[in-house]
Amino acid sequence: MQFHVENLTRTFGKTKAVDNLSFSFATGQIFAFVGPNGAGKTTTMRILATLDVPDNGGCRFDDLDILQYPERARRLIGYMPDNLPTHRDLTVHDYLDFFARAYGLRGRKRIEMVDQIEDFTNLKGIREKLLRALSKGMKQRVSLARALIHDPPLLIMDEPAAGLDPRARVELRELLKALAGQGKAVFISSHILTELAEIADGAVIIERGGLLRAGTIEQISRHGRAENEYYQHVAIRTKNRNEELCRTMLEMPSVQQAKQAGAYIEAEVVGDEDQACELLAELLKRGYRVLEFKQVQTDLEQLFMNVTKGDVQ
Amino acid sequence: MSAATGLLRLPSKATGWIDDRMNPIVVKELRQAVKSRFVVTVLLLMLALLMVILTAVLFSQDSRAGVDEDAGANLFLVFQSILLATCTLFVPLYVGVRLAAERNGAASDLIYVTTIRPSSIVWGKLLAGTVITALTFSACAPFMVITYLLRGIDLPTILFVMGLDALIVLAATQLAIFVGAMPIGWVVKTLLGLGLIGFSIMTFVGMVVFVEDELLRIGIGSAMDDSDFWVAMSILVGTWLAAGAMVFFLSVAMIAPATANRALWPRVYFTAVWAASFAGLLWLTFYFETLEPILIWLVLMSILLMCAAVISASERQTLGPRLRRSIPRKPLLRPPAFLFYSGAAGGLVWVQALVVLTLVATYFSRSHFLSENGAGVTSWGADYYDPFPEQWLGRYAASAMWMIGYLLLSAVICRRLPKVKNGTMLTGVVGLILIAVACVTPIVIAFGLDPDQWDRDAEFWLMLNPFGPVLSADRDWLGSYGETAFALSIVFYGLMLIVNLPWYWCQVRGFAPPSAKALQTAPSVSPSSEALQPQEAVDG
Repeated sequence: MQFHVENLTRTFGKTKAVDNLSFSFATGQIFAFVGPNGAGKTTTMRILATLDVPDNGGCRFDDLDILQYPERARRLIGYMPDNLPTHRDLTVHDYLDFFARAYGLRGRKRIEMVDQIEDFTNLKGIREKLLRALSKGMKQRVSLARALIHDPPLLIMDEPAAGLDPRARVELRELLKALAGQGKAVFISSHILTELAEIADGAVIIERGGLLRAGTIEQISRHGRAENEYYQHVAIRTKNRNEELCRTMLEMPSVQQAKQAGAYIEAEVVGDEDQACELLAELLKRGYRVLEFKQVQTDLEQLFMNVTKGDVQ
Repeated sequence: MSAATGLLRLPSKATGWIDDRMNPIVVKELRQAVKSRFVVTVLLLMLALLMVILTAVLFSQDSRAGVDEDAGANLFLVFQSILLATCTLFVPLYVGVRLAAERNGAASDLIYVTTIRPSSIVWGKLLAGTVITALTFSACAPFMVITYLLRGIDLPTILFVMGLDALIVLAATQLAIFVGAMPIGWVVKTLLGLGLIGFSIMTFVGMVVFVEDELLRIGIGSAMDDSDFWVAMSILVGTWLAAGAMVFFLSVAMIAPATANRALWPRVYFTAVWAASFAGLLWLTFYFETLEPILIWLVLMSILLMCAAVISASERQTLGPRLRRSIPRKPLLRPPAFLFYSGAAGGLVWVQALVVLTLVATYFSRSHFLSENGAGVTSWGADYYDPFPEQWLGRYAASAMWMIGYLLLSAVICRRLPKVKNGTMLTGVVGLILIAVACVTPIVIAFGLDPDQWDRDAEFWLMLNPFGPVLSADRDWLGSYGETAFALSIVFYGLMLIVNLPWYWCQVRGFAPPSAKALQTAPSVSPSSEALQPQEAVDG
């Protein structure tokens, strides 16, 4: 299933919160939605979750027009807001049970689903606790459980990692991987880009409501380059001689960029993987004692910093 | 053994079946209510107050002074006041504020991203309010019954008053849900909420006075034998329920998605109530031998239709793909569908049609009940009281024409405003402002011209006022003022119709389903659009 956003625009008074936004992604993918504070991420996500209506543009899930048929779209979308609107007097179990009922789950199926989700999100131990008594991290778990309760193929998650401790973040990351593995599309916004980079298949980068880049990480990093140009990012660690290596590499025609990053030299090699292998062979030939030579995934954080200016509305 | 086991499991199966079919909102609201400190505190405080008062009254009874014949009635009045005051304020406030918070634009509750239907949400809220009311009433019931033992009041009166109280609480709750569901800002919502509290207090005072002055004095037990009592009660309860249902449909429409045909059920229901109430009033006219029911119906329908006109004028001016897809393909079905589809043009035509039907129905029913010479005697010889003002038909028609004329003028203005998208909301507001200006400005001018005798030619200054024809005295209307005002209203309304004709024509022509060819090329439930691939969006 493909999820399409087309020319989405939303204004509040004179402020254009979302400005002609277009992108798409598919089920089974994790797509990061990144932008500076006030870039329009939450507004966009609220529109996609059918909680708000745009002034212009549309969103489709395959053939289903989400804006025209929000009731049908809601079966397919699980939305996790940046903060859990508290039903203070409900227990975790009652809260999930209510949403299971609200999504039309009946009888044994409802009981099993709530049970399964509590298990999946590790909420079994606190199911009888009142929502008002939960910590931020626990509330995030409840919110995730609520978004998953009707088993939607698309998950829209607004800052799910905010306020989570390191362990919970790792667990969330694993959960997201598992969900993508189950064939769900995950559209996730977060400021913790290093974490997103490890799991995201693609990204949508926005600033001041407008789209800067959208596509797979590969597509974004290749932005502005010719179709037949390939780049490999490699990190090399040698025994001493790092500064000299950096200079040497920059003199090589296949190396586009090289810079020292801690104990490593990070380089951008023009060409495919064979070219990277040849570079390694050349370095060894020149007598460098290479301790480590590895391919590096494009850093989402670096991409974000390169693309955005940090403007807010 | 297995049959016995099956029988034993039957109750749990039945409860499971009921549990599954219960409205999720009711389940959630009640779970929250029983855990809510607010609800528990209010309930306990009320019971404590009742207990203290009862104890004080019982201990203050002096057995040597003989039996106080009115002790029960007086105590009931106090208890009923406490119960009604608590419920009319607490239950609507509890339900309404929660819904308003859930509908808060910036932090809409996640209920609204589930597949639950808007009608289930409103019905669930109302039902939850009803259960909380029932809980409060049942907690108070023992205290109420004790008053019977103290003399001065009969059981039917107690039950009857409590029934009326419950109706008042439910009406206030439904109104609170309506205000809570409104898609407006917090400030306006709070103001409306305060207005509702004011209304609740007035209703409370009115009810207490009614109970004290009427019901406790005469007692319901004796009145129950009179058929007039049951007729009056049926009218009261019927009107109450009909109005409540109208508010229910409006609340549902406000929660429904903007792309849906939100006007359908409110308009269908209103039309049904219009027809049913007309049939009912004919029977009442016959039963009570007076034309007052017809006049009351005319006044009530005129007010409601004017409200409907303001709401209809504020509706959308272009139909979205979803609505267009649901327009009937058969040409014969399209004209009636036009009247019941969300849209300013269809809405205004619907209102105008009902205004005409109301005047025609009133005219013919009045004529039927009166003899040809207007002597107030029917063909079967019964005298009918005729409360209609002179030339009522012209006056009501003129009033309606002014009102709709102003709304049509507002539609023209709003269509020319560059920043107004689709004319929503603003048309009705501008229309009301125009009406207010037409009402106030002439009077201000008159006062400015002659502060001492500005009201000498009062009827002249009412010339542009939509309420002028109905409110002016018979002697004024029968003179040249009436003729001029009627002629002016026709000219104004006609002019506005002509000015709006191109727009009406455009709306009527546009009210058609997408062509079969367009449907074939487009995806099943979305407007046609080529799928965007990620790389295409990169340069966005």
